[in-house]
This record gives sequence, C-alpha cells and structure tokens, in this order.
Amino acid sequence: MRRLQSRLASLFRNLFRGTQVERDLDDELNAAVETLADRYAADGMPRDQARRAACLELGGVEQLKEEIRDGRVGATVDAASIDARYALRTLAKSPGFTAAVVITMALGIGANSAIFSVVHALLLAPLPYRDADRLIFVWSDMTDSGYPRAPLSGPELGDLRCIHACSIDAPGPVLKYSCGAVRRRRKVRPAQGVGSVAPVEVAGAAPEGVVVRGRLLLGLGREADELLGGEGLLAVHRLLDSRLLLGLEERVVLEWIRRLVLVEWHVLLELRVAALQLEMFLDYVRKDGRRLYRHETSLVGRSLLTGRRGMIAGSVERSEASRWGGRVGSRRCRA
Amino acid sequence: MAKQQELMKGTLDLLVLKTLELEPRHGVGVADRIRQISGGTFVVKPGSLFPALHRLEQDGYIKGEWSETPEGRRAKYYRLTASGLKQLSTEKKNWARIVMAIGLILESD
Repeated sequence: MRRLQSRLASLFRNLFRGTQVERDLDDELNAAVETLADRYAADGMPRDQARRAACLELGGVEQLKEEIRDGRVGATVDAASIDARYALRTLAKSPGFTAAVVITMALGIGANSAIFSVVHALLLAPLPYRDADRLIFVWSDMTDSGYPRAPLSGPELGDLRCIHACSIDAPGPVLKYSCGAVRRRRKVRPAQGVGSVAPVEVAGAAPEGVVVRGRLLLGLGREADELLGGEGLLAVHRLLDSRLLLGLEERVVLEWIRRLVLVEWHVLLELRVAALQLEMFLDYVRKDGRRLYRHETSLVGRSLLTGRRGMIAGSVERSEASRWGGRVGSRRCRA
Repeated sequence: MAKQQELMKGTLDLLVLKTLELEPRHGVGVADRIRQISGGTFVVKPGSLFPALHRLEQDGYIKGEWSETPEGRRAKYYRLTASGLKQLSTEKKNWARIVMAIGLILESD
C-alpha cells in the first residue's frame, strides 16, 4: 500500500512537475560526473580528460538519463505526449496533408457512425413498444393473386382490434390465438391439396348467448367435421348467428361454409372478418344472386357459389365499402 | 585484488538497501561502498546504479535529499525509509532462502 502511494506520488511529480524532476536529474548526474572527475584529476589527469573519463565511467550522461526516464512511473504517458507534440509539429508544417488527413478521418468516422446508427436502429435497439419481443406480423394470404403476404384490409384490421380479449401468444409459423374465455383448443390443418397453410392452433370461445346449431354443423361434411371437430370455432358460431342467416336458405349457408372451410380455410384465423364478409355477401345474395363482389382479401378469392377461380368480381357500393373501412374491387363479371 | 564478479540478477536492490542502512550516501558513494565491502569483488557501475536508485526512490524504499559532500559539492544523498527497512528485511530473508537452497543442491550427492 505504501509502495503504491509512493508510486502515485512519483507519477504525479513526473507528470506535473517534470521540469523540476529533470533539473534534479541533471544536477545529480553532473555532481556524480564532477565527483568522479575530481578523483581522476587527483591522479594527475588534466581536468578536461578527467571529466571525459568520468562521463565514460557513467556510460554517457545522456544515455543514463534516458535509462532513468524509461524507468519512471508514467514513462509511457510521457513518451506518448512527446510523440503527440512531434506529430502536431509535423502536421502544422504541412497544412495540405493535415487537411487531407482530417477530411479522410472525418468522412470515415461519419460513415461509420451513420452505418452503426442504422444497424443499431434496425437490428440492435429494441422496438419502442411494450413487449416488443412478442410482436408479430399479421398478413393476408393472397397467394393466388400473387401476394402471399398482403397487408390486411381496413375491415380486417378493425376486426383484429375488436378481438380485444384475444392475444397472440407465439410468433412464427404457428400462430396461437388465445382468448380470455377459452373453452377448448384444437390443432387444425387445411384440407389436403388446398394449399400450404401452416398448422394453426385456434382456441375459440363462443360468444355468450349464441347457441351452437348442431344441425347445421352436422351438414358440413366429413372434411369440415375433421377440421372443426363438429363443435366449432368462434367464426362458425358467428356464422350461425341467426342475424346473419335471416332470410337465407340453409343450403346457401352450408355451401358457403363448406367453401370457406375447404378452400379458404386459413381465413378462419381472422374469425370476425369471415363473419363480416359473409354478412356483406349475404346482402348481395339478397339483392342479386348472380352478382358477387370481390373483396380485397383472400377470403373471397373464388366464387362462393360455383367455386370457379377468378370468376368472381363485382362491385359494392362505395358507401357500403366505406362502412367496412376498406377498398373493394371494381371489376364486374358474372359468377 | 579479488577477481571482479558480475552481480547476480536481482541482488542490486538488496546491496543498495543494505549499503544505505548505515548512513545516507550519494550515488557514487554507494558504488564505492559496495566495492569496498565486497573487497573489490563487486564493482557496480554508476550507469547501473543510478537507475536502481531512482527506482527504489519511486517505490518509497529510499528518499533522496540534497546535501553537501565533504569536498563541498552539492550532491543528492539517499537514505533508507521505514518502508525500505522492511523491504531490506524481506530481501535478506529471500536471499537466505536462496543461499540455503543452493547450498543444499551443492551438498547433495
């Protein structure tokens, strides 16, 4: 401890009282030279030769000073400051070279900073949202139309917002919807040949007051039974809501559900979207069964009645489209 | 005159501390004293001695003070500090251990 204190005191002295330290060193070595020279002179050597002999005995005064300086505490700092002063003097003598160096370094540092800022913002810094690591990207699958990851339409976004009781637990290819009042979870897969839709685990909770209509569900067919297990997802419950079925033939609804399940089954993930679009569809069926509309989602990618691909299109009144907050296709053709 | 020997590595500090134990000396005086005590066996060149003195001073084992020589010259005299005295004792013990170990090796069959 005492040794450390002493070394720190020496460091302070060497760094901040260097002139005094150097003067002491000069005086000490000069005294040593004179003492040795006195001895040589006492032996009869001339004074100048005696002094030279004394210097030789010391091994050269300047060399000795360098050796002592190298052993000082803080010698590295001292050497660095000498180098820095030398560098500054050299730079001052060649302003053109100095300017080139400064500009090069400024550009280099600036470019590095800019790149790092981008990398930091994009890759390193956490997103400015709570539970950022649980965020997922939700999209519409419009592979048939050439948009495998199309953005959600206004109604879809609105519906997602409406499912405020739900949260998505795990990002990635397997989505898991969990609701506040989960009754059951079921892992379902798309029917064979329909398309490459990732397995999805869906938990559905029937809205209060909705009666599951077993009679209709039984009519969905074997594939649908396998998918839905005969009991139903939230979407099916909503589809069976009497408000939606008002005035429609049961055959139409069953067909619609069958198409929905077998062909566009993955849209069931967006449960309420399906229900809302069914409602829009049913409105049109009421008005004119031959004209269908094409909404900007993959749900109605084909005729709901004939199953013919690319044949559906139609129009929805702007006012009706805006009711859902989304855009509606304008092509018109016969189903 | 005894044949001159080079000092063993690491023993210069011990010799300097021991030399200064009795009384303060300047650099040349320390070299003279070592040569005198060793009967001329060890000749410490001032070129080696002064760096060692400065190193020991930095470590706080000795302290340099300006004073006058008997010849009336101004010189820096070094004296042993309390810390240096303790260090001398440690170095002595280390040296005794080394001597004993070397002796054991040499006396072994």
